[in-house]
Amino acid sequence: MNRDSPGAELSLTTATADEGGLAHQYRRFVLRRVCCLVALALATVLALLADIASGPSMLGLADVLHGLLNPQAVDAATRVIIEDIRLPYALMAVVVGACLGLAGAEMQTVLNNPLASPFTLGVGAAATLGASLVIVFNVSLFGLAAHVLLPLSAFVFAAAASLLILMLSRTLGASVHSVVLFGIALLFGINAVVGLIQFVADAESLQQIVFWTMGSLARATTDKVAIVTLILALCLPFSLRNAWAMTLLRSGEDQARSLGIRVERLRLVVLMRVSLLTAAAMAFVGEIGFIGLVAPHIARLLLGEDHRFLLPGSALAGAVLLSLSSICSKLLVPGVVLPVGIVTALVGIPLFMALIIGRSRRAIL
Amino acid sequence: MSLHLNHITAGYRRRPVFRDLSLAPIRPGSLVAVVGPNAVGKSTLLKSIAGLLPVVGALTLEGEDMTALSSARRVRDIGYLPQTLPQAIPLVAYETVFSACRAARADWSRQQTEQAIEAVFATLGIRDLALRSLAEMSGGQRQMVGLAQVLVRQPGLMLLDEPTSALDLHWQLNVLNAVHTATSQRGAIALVASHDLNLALRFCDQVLVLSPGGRACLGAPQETLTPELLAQTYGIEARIERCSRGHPIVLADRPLAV
Repeated sequence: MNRDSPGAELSLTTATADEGGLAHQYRRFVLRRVCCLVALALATVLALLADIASGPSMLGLADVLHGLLNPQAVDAATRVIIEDIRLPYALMAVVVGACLGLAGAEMQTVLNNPLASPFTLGVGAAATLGASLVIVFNVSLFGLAAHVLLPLSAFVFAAAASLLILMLSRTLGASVHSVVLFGIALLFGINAVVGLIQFVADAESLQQIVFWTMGSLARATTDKVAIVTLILALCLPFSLRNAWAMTLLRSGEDQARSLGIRVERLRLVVLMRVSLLTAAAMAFVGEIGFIGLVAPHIARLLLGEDHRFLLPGSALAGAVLLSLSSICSKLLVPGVVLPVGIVTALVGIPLFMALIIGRSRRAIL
Repeated sequence: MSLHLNHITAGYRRRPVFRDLSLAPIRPGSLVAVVGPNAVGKSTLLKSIAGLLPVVGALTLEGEDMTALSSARRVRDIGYLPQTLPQAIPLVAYETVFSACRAARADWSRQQTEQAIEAVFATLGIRDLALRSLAEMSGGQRQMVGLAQVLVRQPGLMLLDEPTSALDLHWQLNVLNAVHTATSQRGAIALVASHDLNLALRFCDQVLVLSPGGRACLGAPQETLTPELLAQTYGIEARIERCSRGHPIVLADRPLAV
């Protein structure tokens, strides 16, 4: 039996990880990714500052920096604009964008579908349904005020939608592709119910629902920013803890299972986290589409599929995108602040199309 | 490390593929080809041994009940290569292999992990692919990376489902040499599902022929792969000849009338 070949000459235990070795090359590769992540973080800070500076009364960057770092150095009017109006608004854009970007990346991974996002699978629509019910029927539970009950209801409905998708797919032994189909069916179903609620709503409630579905950062306050930031801060470490498992899952489900990844459990945990992030983001600003879909793709193009980088990268890309959308919402029509949900879609669609066309061209070349 | 299958029933919830399957113990250091017609259950058998499908019966590895192994032991001792290739995603080969090694060999130091990865890329002859994205690779290259994910962990039992299906002749030889090196140097067992009977004849110590109806036959390749068995199993008229170098080769002449 002839078993000679180039491969047979080498033992599996004799190679070393020296300076010219693969480990060294990989470390340099990782360093480039870290630099990319730092650049995204810097872009987020710059977008945040530009968001604070922009508005009906434009501020200089120096005024913004002084207003943030040394409030006594600026006049009272500028201080009020920065601290009471622009800062909560701009911070909300950053944290909501980060929540949606992170949620989108996790959803695309566990459903193995690049088109998955909290909105395409009905989780966002379920949050809207929860909010609409509270607005229209003026529900009051356990003595909770509407401004507390509304985000709570949005979360419960978002989580219920995720659970329903999972239960249906598990009961029927469905593949991830079927999960996506269930999600899309759920989206249409929930939209129909929301439409029905809008039909029976009085004029004031209808206006509130429509405003909620357009998405607006104008409702941002320091307290609300703190709540969303807290939820993001709670979710992010758990997301990063699952980063290796999600990387393995992306490279192949069977291989991931054989490596001890409990895929069903991972899907359940991630979808629950996605519900929490989506509901937290939507509860205070309403529906903001496209960030959860596009931000992970931008991060993937810059950082690849290693989830140690993809997850924080998606959060940062989401933060930058929503900050830029927020700036556009204030500048597109002079003197008017448009609902950011509308602008996000307008900014998101061309960007998403450019990404798809760019990818197709690269595939052809 | 020896593998023993005794009165195994395995398959899917409503459709068991094997009933009461028993095989002679497979010795340490054995490279076993698992052959048989399409849909006979080669992949099901490998998945069942890997713990990915439920099994009833006695399935022991080195005398230990495999169904009772902890997840950590299972991941460390059993390396499974699925039939599906790693996905074409923007993940570089090094981190694909690194992530597998990290999941299976948490007991290794960083230096040990890096040395093992360096060695497996060199052994398979794919060092130039290490920092290439899976999205930019051919199917065959991704299959090599998938194999590297298994070999790097140095498992005692390797279950490889058609590891050469996307490879040209050069890489087929390279892969089977690497697997043979792993079995002979470390005393590991490799079960390799394949449709290539000539590779089985040339490289494997034993061949497990699965036939429709759940019948199985395990033995030395040249004694087991007879024209009669090939006629019963595949429904073909075939000959076993020898090439100018003396290697046995299977020549399929024609399908037999059903």
